[in-house]
Amino acid sequence: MIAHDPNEDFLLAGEYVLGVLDGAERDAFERRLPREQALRQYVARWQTRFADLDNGVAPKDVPPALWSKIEAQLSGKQIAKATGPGFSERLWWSLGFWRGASFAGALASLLLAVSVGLLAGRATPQPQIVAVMLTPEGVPGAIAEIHYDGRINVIPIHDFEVPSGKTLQVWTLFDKAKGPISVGLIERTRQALFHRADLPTGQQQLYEITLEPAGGSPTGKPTGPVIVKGFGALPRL
Amino acid sequence: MRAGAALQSWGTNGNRRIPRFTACHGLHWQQVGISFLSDKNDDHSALIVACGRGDRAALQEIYRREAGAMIGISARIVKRRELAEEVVQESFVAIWRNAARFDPSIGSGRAWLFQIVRNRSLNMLRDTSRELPTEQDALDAAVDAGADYENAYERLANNSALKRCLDELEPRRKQGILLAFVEGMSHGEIAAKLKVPLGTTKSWLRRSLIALRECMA
Repeated sequence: MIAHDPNEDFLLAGEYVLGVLDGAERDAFERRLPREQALRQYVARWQTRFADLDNGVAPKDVPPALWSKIEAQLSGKQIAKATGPGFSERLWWSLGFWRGASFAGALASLLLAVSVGLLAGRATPQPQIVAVMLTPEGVPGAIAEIHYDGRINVIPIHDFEVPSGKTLQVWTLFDKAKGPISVGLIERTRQALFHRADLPTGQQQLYEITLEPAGGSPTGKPTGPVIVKGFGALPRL
Repeated sequence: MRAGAALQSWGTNGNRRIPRFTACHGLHWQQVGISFLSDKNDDHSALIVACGRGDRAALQEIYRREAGAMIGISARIVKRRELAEEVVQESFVAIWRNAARFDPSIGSGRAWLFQIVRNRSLNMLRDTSRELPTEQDALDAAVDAGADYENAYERLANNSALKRCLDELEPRRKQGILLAFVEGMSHGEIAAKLKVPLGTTKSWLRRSLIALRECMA
């Protein structure tokens, strides 16, 4: 943990509210915000100081279709789209996954997973939360990058086997009363991107992938075996 | 008022000249509007907290009250109406998603909403800056440049502490603060507009922030 000078932080918060931090500086500042109460207070005070400039704005006409677009986006498409260059040209859900791995191999995979994810994130804004999902044997099997704008990027880092008539389903658990909520199905053989702006993005929120009948769990809750699972955490960047 | 005339009125020679449009008597109705809105600030916080609990009707109420103002705030930065509408659409998704983390004890709900709009507008500027603007866009931008920050300043109520404290700043430093906050200009853009070196712009803005903090304490 880096020690921060309060006066410097106060000015930094002012520059943040003013909007003059460049992209990298702003990203770094926003990553500190969830963890630092003092920083959030500085930001709130600057917002209050400058609020008159916004409160006096002349409202513009709102196009009638805008609300329905927002609602559509919040409902979200739940089937993943294959994205970007594939992690693998071949089926990654193959037998290899269950062969097990040495501890060293697992650690290497974990480091690879995190570095790959974070490097991939550098082209676009960096993920807010990263979840490394482990197999029941404790081997890293997939990572999820959860972004502020609702994108959830699931990246496999192992080969899995999916029998015909089955599919993989990604779930997240943020409220025990509600139980696991489906993030979406993985129907393609590569990194999958979901748009789920309707889901919360807490730390210590569970992510898991289960094996389900093709088309997804018939009950809306996981019915098959857990392939991988792991908790979301703040990436330390 | 056109941009050229406005620039003169702000002065560029370091005089502590007061811009001539400050003595505007047309602000009366705006002051009424502002106080009406600030009375509702607590409501905004309550609505955001309700969004955090999954209440979609609360989000729709925020939309009903603020979507127009949000498009206005974004348009000052992104300059194109369709981009501003896109920003506001994304902002409502972000509001819904982040509402559970809003802490009403720390700050104003309305300011929190507008911060999201401003951040998304800045992102939009970054994302679209590589696109080649059309000739019409370039013309629009040239006409708009420098007009929005001035309008925002003109619309400040006469009893606004921010207005009083901005007026204590040297005119170009005031202009720098307004260009940054209202129009989303970067250090580099402000430096080009004010015709001062980049490093000078950064230190001006920092010293202006310190002056504003002391003045508004």
